[in-house]
Amino acid sequence: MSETFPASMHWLHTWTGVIIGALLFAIFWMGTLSVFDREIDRWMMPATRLAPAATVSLDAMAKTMTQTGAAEWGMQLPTDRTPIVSGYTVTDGTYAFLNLDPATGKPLHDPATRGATDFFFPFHYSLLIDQWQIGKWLIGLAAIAMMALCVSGVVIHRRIFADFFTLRIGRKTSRTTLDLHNVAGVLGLPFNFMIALSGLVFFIAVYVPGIQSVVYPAAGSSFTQDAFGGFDRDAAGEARALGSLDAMAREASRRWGGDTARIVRVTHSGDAAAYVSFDRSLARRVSMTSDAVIFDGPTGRLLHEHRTGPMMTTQRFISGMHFAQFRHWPLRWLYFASGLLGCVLIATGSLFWLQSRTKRHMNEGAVGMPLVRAITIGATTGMIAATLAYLIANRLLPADAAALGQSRAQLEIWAFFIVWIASFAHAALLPRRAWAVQCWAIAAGALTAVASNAVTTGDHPLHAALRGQWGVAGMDLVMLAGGSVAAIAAMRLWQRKPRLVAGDPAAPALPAA
Amino acid sequence: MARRAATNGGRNTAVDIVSRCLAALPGNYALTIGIGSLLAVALADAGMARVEAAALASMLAFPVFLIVLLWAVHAARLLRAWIVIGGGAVLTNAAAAWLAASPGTAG
Repeated sequence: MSETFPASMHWLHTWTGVIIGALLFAIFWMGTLSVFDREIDRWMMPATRLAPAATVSLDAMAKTMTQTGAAEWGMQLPTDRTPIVSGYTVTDGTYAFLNLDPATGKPLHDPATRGATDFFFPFHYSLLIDQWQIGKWLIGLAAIAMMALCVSGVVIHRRIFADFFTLRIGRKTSRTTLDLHNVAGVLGLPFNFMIALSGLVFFIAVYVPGIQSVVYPAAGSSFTQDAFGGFDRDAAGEARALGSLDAMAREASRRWGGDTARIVRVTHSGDAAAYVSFDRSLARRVSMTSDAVIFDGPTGRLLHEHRTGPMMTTQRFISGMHFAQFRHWPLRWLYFASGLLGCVLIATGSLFWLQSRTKRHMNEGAVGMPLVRAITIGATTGMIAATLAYLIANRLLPADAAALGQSRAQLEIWAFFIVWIASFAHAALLPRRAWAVQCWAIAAGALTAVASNAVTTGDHPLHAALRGQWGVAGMDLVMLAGGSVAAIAAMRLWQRKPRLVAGDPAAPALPAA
Repeated sequence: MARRAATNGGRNTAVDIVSRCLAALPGNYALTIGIGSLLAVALADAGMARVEAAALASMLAFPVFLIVLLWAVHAARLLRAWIVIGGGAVLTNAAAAWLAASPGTAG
């Protein structure tokens, strides 16, 4: 492309950033939220803010689950982050979800929200576009772009060590932006590269199925079945009650050296050929192990044990580095901070591009500039404001809310997208104070979210902390901190005289540069 | 963009840039699948369990894709990039298919 390798990389870095920056910010933001998805779930589902249960009787849970009459069902067992049993049933291929109280085995009220685990998290890995897996492919493209940005960023950045200690605040704004971009980039480099690569490695069956199908040409066997474990047998058509799940869980735990199960699945429930699968807990390891033990339902006899070979163990380890499901609070916060730093990196990169081009493009009368600017504002501050709108809607919509044929859970998602789209429109139509106004919106939104949680549930941060609901208290405190940062940013942006904005008819004529 | 005087005889036209992007993304993907498939079949032939061979080759595909991408962006001659990527994709995919179909393949 260019004469020198750094020049080629400069071109790649600039244009990849401009084209994919907004998408990358959305993925990083949603991924950062997903680090604390269970805690956000507790915040959004007040009925599930339970004290952790001492022991969980699987047989008591199974009683409730078999009463649903579903032939296939499963449950995710409580952890120190999730005090509830998340059950699901499958009837004719359709999933239904119900939460159980681990102390009693009784169903909890339908939370009427998709929370974080069913909205922020799938947004992070699929953009909620499931058709032909387009969303996952866009995410894959963004992950490759992130790695290309990491490499090209290092190549074009000649003073990488010196600039690590350089942050020139108060000088020229674009200089500060670039310094911030460089510091965030260097500091986050290992994390950003690792997180992009591990995300791709997790989805090998989605992104490079051609490599697997060449050694799995025949129907009847598949890479995913061999790789992730799979056991199947047909129903016998003869009714028989399920044996004791607790006894099976003890046997599974013995085989795993004391590790407990995280997921229990029952297939052909109530049939003589029923079988029960136990997936190994992830709390004590980085690896997202696919170790599983499968028992005969009625008798509890061991049918199959899945263990992975070295390569799939490597794949599970790399996936585990991405998912961070292990029990380690300092590391979890480090993931969260690294995610936020990634958001700063992406936003300052886009901002630097805008700041360094505005003048020249205005003189040239280029039309693309206002568009990129509006997209950048909507994708960054707009995305944060939309997230807060989703949380506020969750707290303020009545329990039985429904409008225009949409359920309460869907209305929350409407709140997210309406605010997000409105923020793009606002940035495009009223560009002069757009950054400041949206920062004010974030500050106000954060305060409203915290207040609405306190009013509707009584769990203001102090109260929540005193009764051990650290997830809820932490969520409120992070929002208060974030809202304060947004308020400071808004005040400083407001005091400054309006920036020159390309395409703004009110902008004064520029002196020749 | 004065420094963007490329060695392929002048400025990069829009067609050049689109062509280079096609080589660096879809072309690169076909080449990566070819290299990965060839590696998976060869490892399986050499006695590795096929799930393990496929997993290793699949994971290596991402660094391969990244390196080819960076090279395709920088390659001085666009035509050469296309010959290497396009030709490599055809050759590796054909070789993998031939190896997979030949007797003696662990299957």
